[in-house]
Amino acid sequence: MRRNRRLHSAALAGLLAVVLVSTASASEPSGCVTCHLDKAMIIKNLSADTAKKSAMQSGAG
Amino acid sequence: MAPLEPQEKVLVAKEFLSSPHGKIACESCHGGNAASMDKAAGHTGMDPHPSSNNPQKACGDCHGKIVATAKDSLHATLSTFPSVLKSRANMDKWAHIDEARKNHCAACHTSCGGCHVSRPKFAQKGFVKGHLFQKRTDPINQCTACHGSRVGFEFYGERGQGDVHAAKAAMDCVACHSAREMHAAAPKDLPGRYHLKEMARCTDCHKDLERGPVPEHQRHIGRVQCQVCHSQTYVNCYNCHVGKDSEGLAFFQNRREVETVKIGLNYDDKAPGAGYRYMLVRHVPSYPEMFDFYGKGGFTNFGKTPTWKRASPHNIQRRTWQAASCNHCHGNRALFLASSDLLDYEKEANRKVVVPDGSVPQAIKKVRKVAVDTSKVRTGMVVDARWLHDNLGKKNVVVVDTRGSAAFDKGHIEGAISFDPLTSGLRTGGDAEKAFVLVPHARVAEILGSKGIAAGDHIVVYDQSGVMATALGAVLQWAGATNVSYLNGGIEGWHEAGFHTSTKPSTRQARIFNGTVQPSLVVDSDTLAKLLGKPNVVVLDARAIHRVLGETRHELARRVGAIPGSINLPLGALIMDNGALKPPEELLWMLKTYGITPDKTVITTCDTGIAASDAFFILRYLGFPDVRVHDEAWVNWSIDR
Repeated sequence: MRRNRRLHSAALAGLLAVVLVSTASASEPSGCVTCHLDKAMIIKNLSADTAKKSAMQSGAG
Repeated sequence: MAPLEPQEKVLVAKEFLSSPHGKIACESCHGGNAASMDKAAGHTGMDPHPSSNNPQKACGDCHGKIVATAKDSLHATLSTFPSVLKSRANMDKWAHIDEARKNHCAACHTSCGGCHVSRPKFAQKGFVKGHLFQKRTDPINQCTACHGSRVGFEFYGERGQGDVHAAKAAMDCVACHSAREMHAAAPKDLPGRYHLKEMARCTDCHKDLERGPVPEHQRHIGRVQCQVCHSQTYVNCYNCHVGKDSEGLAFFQNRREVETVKIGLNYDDKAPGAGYRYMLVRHVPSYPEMFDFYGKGGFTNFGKTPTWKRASPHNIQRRTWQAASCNHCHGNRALFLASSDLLDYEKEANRKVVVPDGSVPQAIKKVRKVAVDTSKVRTGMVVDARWLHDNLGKKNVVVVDTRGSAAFDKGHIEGAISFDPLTSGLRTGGDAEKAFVLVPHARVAEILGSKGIAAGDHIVVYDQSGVMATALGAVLQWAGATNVSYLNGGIEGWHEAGFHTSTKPSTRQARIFNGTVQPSLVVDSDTLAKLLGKPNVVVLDARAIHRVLGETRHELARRVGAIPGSINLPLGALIMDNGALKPPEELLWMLKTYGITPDKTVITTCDTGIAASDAFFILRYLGFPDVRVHDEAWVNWSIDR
């Protein structure tokens, strides 16, 4: 009986975790989505591209 | 592949939010602080490349089975690079070599995201479709973003005719290189990529050919790699120079590329499915001092591994020149790798690859010859370096360098004038009502005259690749020049012939061009539309295959597509990489395989009139009597129709 109750609690906790994860989705308002969906804001916030390639590079494979 | 604007690289599409991955919180994969509206705080601890840095955490929870093997795949680890380097290395110097490998070679690896979300890091990254995940890897933005020159160019006809799998069946990379291969774990110490048992093979689709109706298959299968008969010319690289620039940024440069076909002996028949004796071999740009920037004496065992390596060019055609007649291959010593093809430092390395004279298949006595009439070739339209050298300075020989002023200033053929057909005003601009079309003849004549060119001169055009030079050649002929020649092989051919260049400034006194326009050499879209479908009229579309397939689009074209009924023959089929032309017999034969023959009216088209002009010039050289340029090209056609 006690064992069943424990299993029941674990299942509920698992379900809760799934619900929590699925509700905290990218579609929820967040700093990430607010900026990365907004072209004007992205342009405003762009910083210098640090992944600079050498001008002497002759190209890819 | 057009570069992405910085904002495009990180702009998420609204549709992403309703996609399966959009249901997952951003920070679940990327970390950071999603609650913050401040950029710096929000990005603290954020990982822009989670699948690269921690594939198990980023992708493994849902795609565990795939990640379990993909994290050890060749794309993720490039594990065969160290294998090859170690085979040549002085292991006492391995630390130097490995540092060089990490700086120059390891940058090419990719991750789950680099194939399914973004352009790979090596290709300057950025979302392909607003962070939407794609099951099928994008051939333009992802595969050929890294596998460019030796795969992408050849597959899509930016060198050669392109690959029949793309041209005829619109197949993309994944069509052959499936997830099974891409996600396969590479066994430890895999000696080379061809040893991966999951690697795509021709026989995955083309089964039982040796029992099929083609007698050549019955004779050659098992002895000859498929590509030996079915590949076109491909590029070989020499002398890869690696180092760091003045800003400390690592770079590599391939110093020399040569387009050829070479058959070698199979030195590695233990690779799965590679039991044949003859195979195509490609020169790789390795040499003993390649990593000297990091420490000298690294490759003391250079002779252990070939520099002419098994090749699988992605430019397959059912019919190729070397297979067009038995004796194009049999008895053709030049097609087989010889000791004389080797540089001094690589003689030992390629000992097992060189085909001795006795192993070149003997010529066959009775063969069907290729029936091509070369008697109409206008031989004077192409000159070689020797001819130009001997005729420099002669009265009325005008040499025109079309590479642009920067290349001209570094060194040009002495006495040549610099004339860039793109920037000299011969065509309208991109913002004109009709973009990139030729301006009126009077203006063209004025521009040419101002450069000291007259219609009656013998005008010799040259450049690096043939593209701008032959395009100018076509304009000159339309404008009324009576004797225009192209320097075969361009500036590289000039250097290879042993001739020097000059940095002396060179101009000519302005003259009156005095040419009679040849209006019949150019057609507009209305005229072309009326000619479509007429017997004996062929429209040759000289664009790369990805344009015709609609995988890419010129920025000014309103839509993707092609002129109805046109035949796609990419310009790369007509001019080789270094601006050299294949022999007329070979070009005429190849054109014939597309149904493009001199008895027809051929109208050449492309995106903006340049490649069409090139194709026009070369077909005129080959003796086609009625060739015309569709100067309005696809950019205007797509807007008007």
